[in-house]
Amino acid sequence: MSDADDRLAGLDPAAHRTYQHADLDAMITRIVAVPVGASSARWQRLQARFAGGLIAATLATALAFVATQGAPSLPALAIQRALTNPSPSFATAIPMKAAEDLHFSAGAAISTRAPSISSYKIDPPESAIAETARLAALFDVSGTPTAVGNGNWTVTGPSGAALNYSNVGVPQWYYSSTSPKVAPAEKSSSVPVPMPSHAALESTVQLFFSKLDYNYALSSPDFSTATTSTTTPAGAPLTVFSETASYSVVVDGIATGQTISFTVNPHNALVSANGPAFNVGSAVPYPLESPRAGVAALAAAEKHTFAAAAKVPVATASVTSNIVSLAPYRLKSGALWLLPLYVYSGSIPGAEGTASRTWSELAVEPTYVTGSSATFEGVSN
Amino acid sequence: MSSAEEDRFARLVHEHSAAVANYLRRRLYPLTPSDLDDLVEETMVVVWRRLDRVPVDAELPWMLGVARNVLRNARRSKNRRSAFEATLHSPTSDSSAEEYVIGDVSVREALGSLSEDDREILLLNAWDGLDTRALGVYLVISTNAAAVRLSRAQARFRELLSAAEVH
Repeated sequence: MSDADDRLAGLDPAAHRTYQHADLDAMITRIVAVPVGASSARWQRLQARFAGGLIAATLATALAFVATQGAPSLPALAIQRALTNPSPSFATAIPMKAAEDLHFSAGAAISTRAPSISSYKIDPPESAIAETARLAALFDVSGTPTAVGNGNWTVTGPSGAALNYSNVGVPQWYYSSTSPKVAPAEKSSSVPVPMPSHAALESTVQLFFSKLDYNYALSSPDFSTATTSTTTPAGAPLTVFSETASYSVVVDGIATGQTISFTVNPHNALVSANGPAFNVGSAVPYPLESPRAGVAALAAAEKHTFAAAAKVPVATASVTSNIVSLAPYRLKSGALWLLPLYVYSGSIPGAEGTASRTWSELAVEPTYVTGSSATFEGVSN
Repeated sequence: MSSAEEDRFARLVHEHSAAVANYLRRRLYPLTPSDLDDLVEETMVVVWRRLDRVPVDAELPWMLGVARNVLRNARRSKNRRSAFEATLHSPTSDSSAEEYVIGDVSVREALGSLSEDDREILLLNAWDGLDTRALGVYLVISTNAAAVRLSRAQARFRELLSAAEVH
């Protein structure tokens, strides 16, 4: 095995982890007792817990200036690649292959009129090391930033508290009050002790968020509690009770695909936090294509995908609604932008019932983007 | 379903649920134990429904293919803005961020630079342990084609890793 193979294996998120199902035999009994075609209650719960992540569209374009009739002259968006959150496990961002050749039908609710939603340049901190030092001081982590490769930095204090700064994609910071060298933890969503009120937790969040001094806004929070059982580097058992407030980063009221979260202990002391490090630049009014035109683009992309495929079942998707979000993209110039994205919902009839699906499509008028966008779908039975 | 089919299904579950769970865990992180159990169970529901299609000589790669679709469904099932926003919390809300930031950045960067197809086949081999024959079943291509694609992906990965460490 080569060094590269060893290092690749070393990144395996499931290495050295055993899986113990709660009760395999009970699961088998449940499954064989359910009539074929029925949707399981567990699956419905899963749908409620996992949401449709937007996987980045990839565009390969050349920088050019374009001007359409009646529209301002704007530089074309020469997109290098789309950026998800700095995915903890990039493998989770691997798009899955579609199972069938889709034809698309846009419902009456899919508008032929394009909305007016701006694109936004992302202004990351000019100096990663300076921002790392600033954030470390903000979270009371004493120490000197140390480079960890590829423009990433870390500061580790004497107590084990750490501030890490990732400069890959949209810059992200991560604060932890405890040593990172702990064994993988088991978690549950309940706590046996009183936790701070949501209002108290939000006060803590506001305290730190104001100090962060980024100009993006936050959605309303989602709260969650957890009991985390792990072991210290010395092997001693450690149980931590925590409450987390998670927010979506929004710009002009639109979700951006970025999140920020703060976790406190029963005493409302911050134990961990993470979020993006950027300011929102000026809004640029790139014209958008209509949602209905976006559906046509979906269809064109799907047709292209399966042009050479054989023995692929054909299905017709009914697209019934759409929303607009902002998603981060890196241009070939290196600049980061938040660009409007249509997120469509619809359904596909099949032998086992109707499946609900989602798709996404870059909303910027294609004449301002040289190249074509990839599209992505989700499904629930 | 006959008793023989139920027996086969029970054997498949006992023999392969751990591999299926690790496949899922590698591609959706973090996962609580209960969420992981639910994803495994949903995979097995499909396996049960399609039991007659499970190839006797390639059970695990076929089941991983089912897990792939279950994962895709789970991650992309929501259809409204609130759900969209909710999912955006998942990557970072309770992650042990240090694991990812201090990890082997060069390897991560090299993997991130690979094409999706190259990355998929490389990790199926390196992490999930699928050999070229199993890769062929999973990807619905011939064993030879899988071997060629894997070899090319490994070569590209090594090139990118070298390049990442030069910079």
